[in-house]
Amino acid sequence: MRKFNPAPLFFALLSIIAFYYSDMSLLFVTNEVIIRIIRDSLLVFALIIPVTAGMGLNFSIIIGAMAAQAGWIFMLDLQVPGIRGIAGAALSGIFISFICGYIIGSYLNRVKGREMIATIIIGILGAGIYQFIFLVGYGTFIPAHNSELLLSRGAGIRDMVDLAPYRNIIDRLWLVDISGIQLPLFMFSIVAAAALAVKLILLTPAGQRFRAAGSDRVAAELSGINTDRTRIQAMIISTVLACLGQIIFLQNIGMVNVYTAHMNSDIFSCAALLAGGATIKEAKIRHALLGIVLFHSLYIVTPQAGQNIFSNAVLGEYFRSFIAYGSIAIALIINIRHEREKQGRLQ
Amino acid sequence: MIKKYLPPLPQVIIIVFIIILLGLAIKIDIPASSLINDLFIRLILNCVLVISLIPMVNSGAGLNFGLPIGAVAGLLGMVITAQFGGKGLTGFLLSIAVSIPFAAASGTVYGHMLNRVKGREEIAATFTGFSIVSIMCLFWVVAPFTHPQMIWVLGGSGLRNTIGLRGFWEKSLYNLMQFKAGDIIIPAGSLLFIGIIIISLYFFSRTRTGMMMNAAGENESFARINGVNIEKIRKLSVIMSTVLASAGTCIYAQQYGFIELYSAPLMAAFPAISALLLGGSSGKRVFLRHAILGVILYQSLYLLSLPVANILLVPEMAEIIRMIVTSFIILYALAKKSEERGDV
Amino acid sequence: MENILEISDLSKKFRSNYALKNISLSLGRGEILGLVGANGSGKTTLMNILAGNPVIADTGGFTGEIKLGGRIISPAAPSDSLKLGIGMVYQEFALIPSFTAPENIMLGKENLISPVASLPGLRIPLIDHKKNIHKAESILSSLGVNGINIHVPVTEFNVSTRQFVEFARVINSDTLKLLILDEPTAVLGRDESIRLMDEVRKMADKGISVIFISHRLEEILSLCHRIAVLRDGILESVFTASETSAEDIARCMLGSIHARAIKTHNHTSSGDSGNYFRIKNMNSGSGGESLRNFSLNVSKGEIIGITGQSGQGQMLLGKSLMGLIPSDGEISIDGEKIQPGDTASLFRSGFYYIPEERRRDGLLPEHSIADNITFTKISTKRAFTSRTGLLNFKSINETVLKYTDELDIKCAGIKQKVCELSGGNQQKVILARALLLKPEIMMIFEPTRGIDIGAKEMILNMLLEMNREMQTTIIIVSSELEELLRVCDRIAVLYEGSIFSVLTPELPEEKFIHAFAGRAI
Repeated sequence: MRKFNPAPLFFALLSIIAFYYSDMSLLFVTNEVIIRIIRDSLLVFALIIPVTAGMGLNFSIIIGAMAAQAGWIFMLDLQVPGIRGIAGAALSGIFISFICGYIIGSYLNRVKGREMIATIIIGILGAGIYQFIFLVGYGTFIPAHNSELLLSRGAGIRDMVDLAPYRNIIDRLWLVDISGIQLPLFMFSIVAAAALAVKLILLTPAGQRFRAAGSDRVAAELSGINTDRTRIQAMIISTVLACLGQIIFLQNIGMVNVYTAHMNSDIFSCAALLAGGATIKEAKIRHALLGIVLFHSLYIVTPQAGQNIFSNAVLGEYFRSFIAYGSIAIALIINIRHEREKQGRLQ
Repeated sequence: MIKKYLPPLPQVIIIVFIIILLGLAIKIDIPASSLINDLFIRLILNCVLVISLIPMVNSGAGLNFGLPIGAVAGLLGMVITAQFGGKGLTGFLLSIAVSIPFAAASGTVYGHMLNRVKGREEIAATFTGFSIVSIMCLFWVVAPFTHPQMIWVLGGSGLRNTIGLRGFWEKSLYNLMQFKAGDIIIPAGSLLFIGIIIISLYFFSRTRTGMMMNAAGENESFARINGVNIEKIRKLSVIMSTVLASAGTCIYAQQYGFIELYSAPLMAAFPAISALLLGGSSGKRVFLRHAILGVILYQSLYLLSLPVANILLVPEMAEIIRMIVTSFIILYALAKKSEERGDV
Repeated sequence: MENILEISDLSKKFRSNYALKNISLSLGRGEILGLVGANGSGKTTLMNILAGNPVIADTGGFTGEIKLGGRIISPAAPSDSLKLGIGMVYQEFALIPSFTAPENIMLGKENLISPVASLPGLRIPLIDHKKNIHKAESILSSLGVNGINIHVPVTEFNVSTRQFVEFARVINSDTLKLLILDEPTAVLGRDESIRLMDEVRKMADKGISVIFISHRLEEILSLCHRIAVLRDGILESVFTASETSAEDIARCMLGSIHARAIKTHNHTSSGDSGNYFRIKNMNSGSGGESLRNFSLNVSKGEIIGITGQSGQGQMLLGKSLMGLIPSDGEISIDGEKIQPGDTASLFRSGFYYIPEERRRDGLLPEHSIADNITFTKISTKRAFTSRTGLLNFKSINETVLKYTDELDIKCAGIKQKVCELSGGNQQKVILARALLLKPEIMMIFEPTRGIDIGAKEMILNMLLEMNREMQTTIIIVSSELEELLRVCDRIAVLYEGSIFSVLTPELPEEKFIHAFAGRAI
């Protein structure tokens, strides 16, 4: 029996109420949501395969995000211009995230059943190493080629670096304006291609292996599937997708907040996925897309709604982070309980 | 699927690291007395928070990743006490007393929740903690506090991000019965206070309930077969841990001199957990000595890396190293625990 | 006949115990070999080695040689075994719960869509579900399974259908040389069992060799060419099916029960015709075993043994009573009705349960001997506890010293961690705990497993003494029939989840053999 998941309805309702009080124009919100779809989709897609493979929400997608930031910084440091720079950032990001994905996957094979808490802490460890490289390493033991990137003390990358050389190269491609709604068709096609790619992967024998490992790891192992390898593959795909997602995200924003841009990318992506009706056992592309629309509509309108209702915009901001954390907490608690009840029945 | 064994304890690496840092510190002429004084302060700041993890670990409810729940109760106790003009040592003690009912109540609900997610406590606790911290952010904004030292002077409503305790009970415990031995400041009152907490926990472990709690953590099926009500005893341990965490937060703020509200307690669990694990509690039982040794090692590392970071002109480095060490130790312990359970 | 499988001098150790010792066995092309043995005889270990269960490699691998089709093999993972052509039908199934029957049958052998898959420069191997369903259906219908819903997860099917899907999953292989079936008929009715065995015969006719494990000796006799009997890790005997009988096999499984020791104990049974402790219609299941309408009546002061072949449900009894696994049924002690799992009431009525897995369920390994002995008395009776809740360690130490002396527990002191003791001494610690608790009725599982001869005698004598001195009613669940014959007033033999017959030790051994084989005379 498929149970009705009230999450999308709940988010829709909240968004509508907040939208009503925010006094924002529908056109503005729509354009904002479109931007968010482009910025966040790939990060949310990155969560789908690990969920399918039974590893839960992959909070370590922030490692992929940091790989993307590293990619951008490398290109800025080497001053590679234009589309070559974008490609270079993507390729070096993919390379780093592939290796990280492999390492994370191998580690997660040693902590089966507790992957989610592990990925959270892997995220913290990754952030530490990342800061060590860029805040301490650059200019000291890593030679910097572009001194404009460095802090005035001569060691460490600045807090914020401009992506000016790469701005608007791809995200204004094929831009269509329909009565005020801006549709960047090229970026949409990238999102669509990523969605299709995830979908197609799930339709191959590899997808079948992910699903089998996610449904019952022991049974999958007994039927001849190397579940350890399957899970590593899932993490590699996830991390690489997250990296690509962050490349797009930063390119769209036009600058890199070197030490904060990755923060919360995991929490907001997970919350968006759950808002779309996914669980920690089952996630699909449509959950991701619906979730991004719902979660970000709410995200966009809450500060203004808070301002208008309580004359305090900060309340809206706190409210939306509570919604993000709260929806993950509730999804976890409900899901773990279901799992336990199911196990009880099977025995 | 062939079992791979983990290399030896990370404690070894940490101790070697501390020795190197200590060498560096001596080389750059940092007086030993100031290091020791700072170590005392850092011990007082963190000791009770780390100890607060023990009841839950020993009852099998796992590492308390929901420590922010207790921390928030402590914050609540403190702002209420401050609002009503609590001052000095009395104010400090009062703040603990006021936080206890909040901690006990939230601990009961939290314990109930943890019983329902048995086996996956860590992740559920983490996000429960995050949720509580973020909903309390709303509370700090709207709560009707009026004390001028606590609310924003102009612009913005609600409580400040950090509330200075000067004029309330800043360092009231630290200054209690403090004396000097040469250059070394001995905070005897604080040590006594923490000592009382440690001794009461020691005696608790020698009671019937304490023994049943330890049994529940070490071997759940044994405990169940031998007449222990697992759910009840685990809930009790969660309440104890939450209450201790709230007291730990009050002690921390008293020593630090500031109440830090809003998102400050969000990540409070990780350093405490890491310190406990560093103390060598890889087994199922944790002893008080693990907690104390862990805090000393963890804090010395932090303390010694500060001056070295400053020489390198990268003051953030101490914090970065702490971040890496914290998460590395937790990841190591997770893998170790899975290896012991034979899940690999 | 050409040999497909040749096992020579195969041994497997877990810690210091041999699970298999010097097994040599061969299997011809198209031959069906029956494999039987009591609990702990080594059947499972042998299957795990052949099927590449990683538990073998994790615990240090095996010694000896296995040849499949002339090649030496050493599978480290199930995928290795599958590649080599060894397919295993698991008792608990290796089906993916959320997958449909065709998805399960085709897992790892999916057909791909060929034309669309080749985009220029990029080949996406998409699964051809239609073709898969077609193939799966043809395999299923060749097994006589028709008209099942192929669009729902396999968990929606009943167990017998799932068993056939599992069978189909394993035989869907072009390279299958050796087929292993672990209790495939345990969940099937009579007609379905016959159908499945027909299919097994067909596979054998195609030249595939089969190892068939079953506790139903009749089935084994009718299906198999030869029958191998394992006991205590040793290959006791290999019978030719046409020249033997169920009695011979059962006798071989049980070992010599001729050397029956003379009972040395006084019966204190009150003869209340089993009114003291009653279990009525208990049902539960776990790990492929189940209890089905299990009922038992025990008189006050008697010692009753419960035994049977492996996997007949005996191991679930204690767990069901204590609520460690869900069950339904009625229990009563001395007239008081108690729900299964209501441990508080069980303790109040003086019931105590000593589980089979000593290290896992029976001890606090990191705690001291003293803690382990006194724990239950403290937890259930508040003994040694002052009004403040503090424990009186002086009187605890005195008591514990008395018991370690009396039971001759060899230790470095009563503060020693119990995990450092030998198996026999650990069992003595558990019994000391029971002696201190003085239960009215005690259920003990496999009291002498993994214990050396000397300690064994002592433990059996202690049970008799408890029964004599304290009038404790004792239920012993054990696979050692010889031991039960020595100490019990009555012995209940389980077969497929309920009691087949209750016998007294004086009865001739034929009675026991028949009961073990589940045959009425």
